[in-house]
Amino acid sequence: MDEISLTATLHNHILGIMESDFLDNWTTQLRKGILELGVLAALRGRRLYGYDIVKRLGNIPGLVISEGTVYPILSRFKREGLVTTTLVESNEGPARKYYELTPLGRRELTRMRESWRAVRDGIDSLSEEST
Amino acid sequence: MIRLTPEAQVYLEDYLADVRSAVAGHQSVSPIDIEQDVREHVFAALEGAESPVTATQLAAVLDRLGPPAEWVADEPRSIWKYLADRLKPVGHRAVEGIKALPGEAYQAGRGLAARVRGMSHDWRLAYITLGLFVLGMIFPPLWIASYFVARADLSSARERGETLGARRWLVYPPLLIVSVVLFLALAAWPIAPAVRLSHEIPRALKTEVADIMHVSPKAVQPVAAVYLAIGAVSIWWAIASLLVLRWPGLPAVLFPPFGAKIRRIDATIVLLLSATVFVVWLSKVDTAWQVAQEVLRRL
Repeated sequence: MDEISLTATLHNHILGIMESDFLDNWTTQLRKGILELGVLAALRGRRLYGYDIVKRLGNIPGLVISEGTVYPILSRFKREGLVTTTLVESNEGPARKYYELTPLGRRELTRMRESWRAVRDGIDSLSEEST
Repeated sequence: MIRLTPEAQVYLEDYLADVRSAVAGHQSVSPIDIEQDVREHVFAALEGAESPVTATQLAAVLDRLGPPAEWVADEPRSIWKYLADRLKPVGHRAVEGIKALPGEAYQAGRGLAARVRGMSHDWRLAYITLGLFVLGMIFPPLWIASYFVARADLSSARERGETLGARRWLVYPPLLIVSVVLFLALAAWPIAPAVRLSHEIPRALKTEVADIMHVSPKAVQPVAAVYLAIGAVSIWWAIASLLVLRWPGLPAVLFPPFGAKIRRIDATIVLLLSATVFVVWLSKVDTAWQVAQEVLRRL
C-alpha cells in the first residue's frame, strides 16, 4: 500500500469513528427524552408494574438498551408527582409495585405528546421541502 | 415462590449493592424505590424458571438490566456521595489486606468483614465511619475519610426523610470534631493577622506609644494585639452573621448536622452583639490612629 492510499484509509477510518461516536451520542440523547415520554405513554389509562412497563417499552425497536434505565425514570416521576404506586402481594416473589398516572402525570403526558408531535411534524415538513 | 442457588443469591445481592451505590446521592431518585423495583423485576423475569435459579440464568436477566452506573449518569449527585464512592477502592484494598493476613488474624478479620457485610446498608456505613475514625487515631488522614463517609450517611438518611436514630453515636464523632475545628478556625482566624500586626510596633517606640495608649511599655504589644483582635473579630462576625442571614442554609452545609440548629434569630443576635462591640471599639480608634501615625512617622 503506497503512502497516499494509507493516509486516505486512515482518514476514512477516523471519519468513520467520529461519525459513529456522533451518532451514538445523538441516539443516546434522543432516546433519553423519548424514553420518558414512552414511560408515561405506557401508563396511559392503565396500571402496570415495573417489569410490565419495561417489556412494553422493549417492544419498541431501539428504545430500551438497558432495561434498568426505566427504573430511575419511574422513581423520578414518583418524586415529581407524575405517577403514584400501589403494592400488591405476589406468590412468585416480592410484592409488585403497580404504577399509575396522577392527574399531573396525565397533563404532563398530553403536553409532552403535543410537543413531540410538533417536533416530528416540523422535521417531516423540512424533509418534504427538500425532496 | 422462586428460589435462588446460594451462588445466584450472592450474585443478586452484589448486583443490588451496585444499584444502591450507583443511584445513591442522586437527589431526583429514591435508591430504596429503585432497589425494590429491580428486585421485583428480577423475580418477574425469572417467573416460570426451574427452581432453584442458577447464577447463569440470573446473569441473563441482569445483563438485560445493564450496568447500574449508566442508569443515572447525567443526574445531579451529592458531592459527599461522590466522595464516598471515590473512597470505595480504599475499602476494597482494606479487604484485600485482611485476606493477606496470616492465620488467626485473617479469621478474625474475615469474621468482622462477614458481620459488616451482613448488616443493613445504613448500619454498615455507620460502622465504617466509626472504624475509620478509630483507625484515624493511628493514621490521622483517615479522619477525613471518616468525615466524608459520615456525611454520605447523613445525606442518605436525609434523602429518605429519616433521622439517624441510634446510628448517630457512630456517625457523629468525626462530624463533631471536624465541625468544632472548622468553626474555631472560621470564627477566630482574624486574631492571627491582628496579633501579627501588633508586633509591627518597633521596640524603640514603645515608650512613646505607651504614653499615647496610657499603659506601661511592657503592655503595649499585648494591649495592641487585644485591641486589634477585638476589632477584626467583631467586623468578621458581623460579616459572617450577614452571610448567614442572606443564606440561612450555610451553617447546615458547613457544620452538619449541628449547623442546622442555627436559625436566623441566632444570626441576628450575633450581628447585634458584634456590631455593638465594633461601635465600642471605634470609640478608641483615635488612640489607635495616633499610634499608627507615630509608628509611620518614625519609620
